[in-house]
Amino acid sequence: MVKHPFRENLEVESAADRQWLRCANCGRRLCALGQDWKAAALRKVFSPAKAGPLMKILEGRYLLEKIYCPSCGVLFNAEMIEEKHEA
Amino acid sequence: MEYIVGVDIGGTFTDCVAMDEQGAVTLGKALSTPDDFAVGAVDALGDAARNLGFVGADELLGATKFFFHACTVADNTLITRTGPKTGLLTTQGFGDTLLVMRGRTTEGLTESEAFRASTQSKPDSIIPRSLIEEVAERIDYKGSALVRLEAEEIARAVQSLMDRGVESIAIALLWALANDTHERELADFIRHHHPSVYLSLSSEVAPYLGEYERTATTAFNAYVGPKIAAYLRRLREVLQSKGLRREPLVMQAYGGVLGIDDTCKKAVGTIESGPAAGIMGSRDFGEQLGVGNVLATDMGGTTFKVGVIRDGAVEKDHKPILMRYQLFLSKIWVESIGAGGGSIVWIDGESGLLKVGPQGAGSSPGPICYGLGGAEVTVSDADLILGYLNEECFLGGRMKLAKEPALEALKEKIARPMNMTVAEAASGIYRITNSHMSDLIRRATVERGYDPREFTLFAFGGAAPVHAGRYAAELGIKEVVVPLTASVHGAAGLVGSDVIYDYGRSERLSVPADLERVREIFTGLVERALASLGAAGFKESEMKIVRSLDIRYRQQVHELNVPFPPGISELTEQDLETIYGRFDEVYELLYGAGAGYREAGKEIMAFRVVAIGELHKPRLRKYPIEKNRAEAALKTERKAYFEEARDFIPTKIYDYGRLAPGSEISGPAIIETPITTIVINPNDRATMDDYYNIRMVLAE
Amino acid sequence: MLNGNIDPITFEVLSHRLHQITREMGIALERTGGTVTTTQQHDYNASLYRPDGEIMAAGETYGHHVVCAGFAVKRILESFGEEEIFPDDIFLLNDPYLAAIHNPDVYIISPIHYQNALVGWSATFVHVSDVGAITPGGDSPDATEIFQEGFRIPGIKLVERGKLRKDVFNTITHMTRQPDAVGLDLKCEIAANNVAKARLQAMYRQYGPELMNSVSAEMIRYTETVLRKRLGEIPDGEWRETLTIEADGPCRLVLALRKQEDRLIFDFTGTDPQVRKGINLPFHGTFGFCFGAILYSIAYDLPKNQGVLKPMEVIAPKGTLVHVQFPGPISMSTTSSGFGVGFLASSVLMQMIATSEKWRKEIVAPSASHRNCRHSGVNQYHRYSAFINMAHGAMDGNGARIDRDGVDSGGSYMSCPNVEWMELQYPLLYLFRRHAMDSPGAGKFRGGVGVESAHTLHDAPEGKIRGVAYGVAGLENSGHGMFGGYPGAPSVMLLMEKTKVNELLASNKPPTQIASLGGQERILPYCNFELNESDVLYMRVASGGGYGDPLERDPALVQKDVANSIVSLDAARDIYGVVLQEPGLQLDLAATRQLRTKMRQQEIDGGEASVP
Repeated sequence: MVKHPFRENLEVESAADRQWLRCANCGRRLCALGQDWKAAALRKVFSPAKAGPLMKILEGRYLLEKIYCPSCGVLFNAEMIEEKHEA
Repeated sequence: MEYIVGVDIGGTFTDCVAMDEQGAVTLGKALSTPDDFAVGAVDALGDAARNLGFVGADELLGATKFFFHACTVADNTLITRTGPKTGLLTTQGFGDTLLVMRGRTTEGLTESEAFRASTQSKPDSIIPRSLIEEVAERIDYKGSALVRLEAEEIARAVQSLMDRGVESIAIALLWALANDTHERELADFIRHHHPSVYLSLSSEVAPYLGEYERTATTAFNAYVGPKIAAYLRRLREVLQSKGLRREPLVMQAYGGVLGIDDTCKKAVGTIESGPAAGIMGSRDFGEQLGVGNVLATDMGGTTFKVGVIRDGAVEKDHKPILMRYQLFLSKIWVESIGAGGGSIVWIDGESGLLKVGPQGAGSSPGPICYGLGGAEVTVSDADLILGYLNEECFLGGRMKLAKEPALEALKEKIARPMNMTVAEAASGIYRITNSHMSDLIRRATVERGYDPREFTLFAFGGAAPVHAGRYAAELGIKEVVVPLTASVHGAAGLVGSDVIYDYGRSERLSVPADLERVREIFTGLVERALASLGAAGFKESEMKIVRSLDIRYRQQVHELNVPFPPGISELTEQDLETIYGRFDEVYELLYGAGAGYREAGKEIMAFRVVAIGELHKPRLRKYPIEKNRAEAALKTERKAYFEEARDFIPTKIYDYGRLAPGSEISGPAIIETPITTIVINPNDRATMDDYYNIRMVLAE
Repeated sequence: MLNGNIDPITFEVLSHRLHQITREMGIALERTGGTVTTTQQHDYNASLYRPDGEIMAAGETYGHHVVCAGFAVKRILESFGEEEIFPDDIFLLNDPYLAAIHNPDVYIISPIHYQNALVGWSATFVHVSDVGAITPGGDSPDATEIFQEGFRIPGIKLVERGKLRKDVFNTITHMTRQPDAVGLDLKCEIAANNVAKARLQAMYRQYGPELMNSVSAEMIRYTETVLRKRLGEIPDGEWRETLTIEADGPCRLVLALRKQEDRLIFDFTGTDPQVRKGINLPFHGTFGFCFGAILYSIAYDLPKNQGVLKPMEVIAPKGTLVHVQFPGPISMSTTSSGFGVGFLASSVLMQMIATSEKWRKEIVAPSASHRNCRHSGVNQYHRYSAFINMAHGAMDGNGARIDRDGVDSGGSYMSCPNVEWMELQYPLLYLFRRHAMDSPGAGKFRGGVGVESAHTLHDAPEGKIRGVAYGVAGLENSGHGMFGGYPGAPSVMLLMEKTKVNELLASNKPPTQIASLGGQERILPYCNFELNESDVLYMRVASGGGYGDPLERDPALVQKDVANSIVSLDAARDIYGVVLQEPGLQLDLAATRQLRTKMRQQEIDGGEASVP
């Protein structure tokens, strides 16, 4: 069960045959290393103003995307993404 | 018999020097007493008094003609952040000036630290943002009030600060150097309604262009002012109650002394007054020895410092960096690095390279050999293992050193992992340490366009004389002097002091400048200077005034200070022409021929006046010389390591106390004194001169 | 780790001393330089090279120029050949298609001889005041080709055997709007190079050529070895980042970093094609900015030299924004795509070191830089200046770290001139210059706060000055958050035309609030513009990105932030979930814990936390 960190709250677990990405907080496995972990996690989008009063200028062009562990809710990532990429 | 007395209060020790009318010097030393520094001062006075044959301090004080003083109260207050609750009044829209600090904060960092983004930092603000109050006013570069300060606004802003419980207030408004009306109106209101508040105005403390440095200087002044004022007044009270009939004079950062009331007006001027006194002492000392170019080096347990004296003039810095802030303060230039006897030796995990410092073991637990619980190998441990220090008789016998534990640690932590012998490891530590010192000195001289080979090196502090022979040699320096007063050179420097007032102001004039305007500005500054010296009791014949200009090439930022010859004769067009030419010369000296682009034109940026009231002091006493071979002082012999032999060789050990003026000693040899050890390398020669100093002449 | 025949102590001493020489060169530039960028913003570089142009000792400032000046040395060697390079010669090169990054960053390159043998080179650059481009100061938003961007020199001898070639010097300065100032810039570079030459020759005299040559070769070998070892210890992987810059449409930069054992491959495939606006970057610039990112992350403590370049490869398809082809315009390259590449490289490197227990403490949230502007015009003394630079770059908020906040307003090697200094020589009046409240990226550790400022004309004889707006345009600039941290507020530049600023002053009111100014406002793209009477230019530089979850920030730190006017009371509650009661900003820990739980639950359940 050798592991090394991946980023804050996410780590890589090496089992006998593969490497997995899992939540460092609760141990929930997300996906195999190399796959899209963001797609495997809980994903929410918000208005940019959620990130602060000076972010209003981004409204209409960007959204604040936050990504959490689907089991324990710990935050993995927060990033502005272009709104046009949202389905 | 009357005495000139100097008391220098340092972090650990308080030193006293008493010089009599014939120039004979007597020393005294006591532990500093941070709870009430005046107590330690009296203790040190008592020690000197008893060494003179008096019963106690009172008799010495009763016979004191001049009393000079340097202390660390300001430095201490800043380091420990124990100043009073201090507020700042500043122009609306610019309240963050002190915190923004113009960005740059990598001054003084090592190469690795400068690149290491993960550990960069700014200091905690000297005045927190919550105690900075913005005032609705605005003055422009011409001194015009674009937004006038109104009475209700004065009352509102001041009340707002007082409501937050401030005891000291700094006032620093934009362009106050061009028009100080608003600052004075705020000050008048505070003096009238809150007379106990300590006030510090930027237009008085630092009337120079540049709101960040000016605000920082004013803030520092407000922060240390109350404690300095309280301390100095208490000191005066204590000393006068014990018999001192004169006003104590306090050393300033630029190397002159001022009375207590003048000092309290600009308390920030006492920063680093101890080191300032030391450098002034080196200058006087150099003068008495006939040496105009001096590198004054001081190596203690934690820091290595260097100051530069060139042609009898001490190098100054008008924009020093202190505690990571840049200030407008005339200060004797002293550069320091974290390198001393207590510097820790370590191996870099990855590179496998041997490193020394900058971390230090301090004085507690200190080097392993001190036996106080230190576990890291230090420079002093290496010095001991190399045979330079004496286990049995360190600090005149006051301490014993433990060699075995130091040796074990060196073997296990350094020699074995690096695959070196004990000799290789210890001598490697010694060499690296010396190269750090010589690098610093090289920077200090070469950056100013000076050649270190033209200087004599003075070695002060407990550790410098152990290393000086080598770091001086690396720079091609030919002579090293270890003075009699090396252990108390701050206090020794004090007794040579003069009263000095330092005035200046920013004013930008295109060159060639209007002669009338130049005269007018200098007249204003000179009149203040003459009035101050007069009030301090000096006659015209005892006054020396030096005027100078800060000049730069137009479009450049950095200015050079160029002095006129001393005196207050009315300036002529020729005098100005000479100064302009001198600027070009000094510029080329620093940056090479053709570096100055004269076609860009020049500007005067600031006017300065230094007013000196010379105090009559006896010359240091000379003693008769009798050439001798120092056999009477030979104590013993032991093995010590020297690079020339790449081995430990038998080395003669001499007792300083039994040497006499004229004694000659050839290296390899070691002289042990009560406060330090002097290592004389092979092919170097040392003599004791007629002042009881040790002078080493280094081999080519 | 060291080669057997070099004594480790001597190696330590000499490598340190070589670095000292670059510091002395920098000091010479600062003291003798003519522009604010050189003397205060430290926008220069001074480095030492081996005879073949390999980096011997890198100066402390911009990494990208260290690399490009090395290329410049190689070009000079190619054009002139060793037979035409004599002791005390000095060369000048500023062609971005050969080695420079944009025309105003002029390289001065000096061969160093000892006993008639070439033993090394020193090189410097400063950003000169003008290069005769269509816009004063060099950055030319309207240029569509390199031919409109000023004089471009592929390598010329400026000093011949110690004697300044007046014809060359005059020809070059003559092509600019400010011959005096440019002359001062060139002279200051010559001075710095002379300092380097004197010092290095002194070292050769003291230690001898054999030892010196072995030490400099060993320094490079040593750095390469240690860096490769460090890379080998970090898990292999691939990390990506993108950045869009707005220049008449979105311009996208793409980077994938692949680490394979001890090799780092920076692959920019997917980056948009080059554009007809001067934000394009030459390949060597791209290479240089990647080098800079490595220097500041996992090589910060190594001797900085060619060894850092050895494990690196860069793939940048020709004809893209990061590998411009002739004659594409590049005048604004460094401050747009250049810093853009720097951001991408930092971001992927940070993601890489996050996978290493040992190295993750070096993480700093990366920044995609800021908007900037520069003016030109006649000042209150009727003197023209092509290069009025406010140098706000020094006041960016820095990114948060893994265990502490980002440094507020700067804290790097750059510094910004005093407001008084600017107002003394330029016809400007600052309305304010202060921390921009709520600009830092929130996080467990917040980003450093950035600075905002506004200025208007004051005593301008012509009633106007010209401005040029450059930097990283668009909404993706400023600090980017890491691992849950929020981004810093975007860096913006706003021109407010025909405001009430003069009326406010006339009625004795300080015009320190943007909201009270009125007027017509527009966000400036890459453009030339004019600042007229009663116009106000507002600028906010970059602010640091946060690190980690804002809901995990120590409430006492939030309280301090509010007391210091860095975070507003509203943001303390809405972003950090911290409840502070007035008066006195009392911290209510229980209410805070409750609010935070509620906020997280509401996020996950799909709704927003309600704002009372």
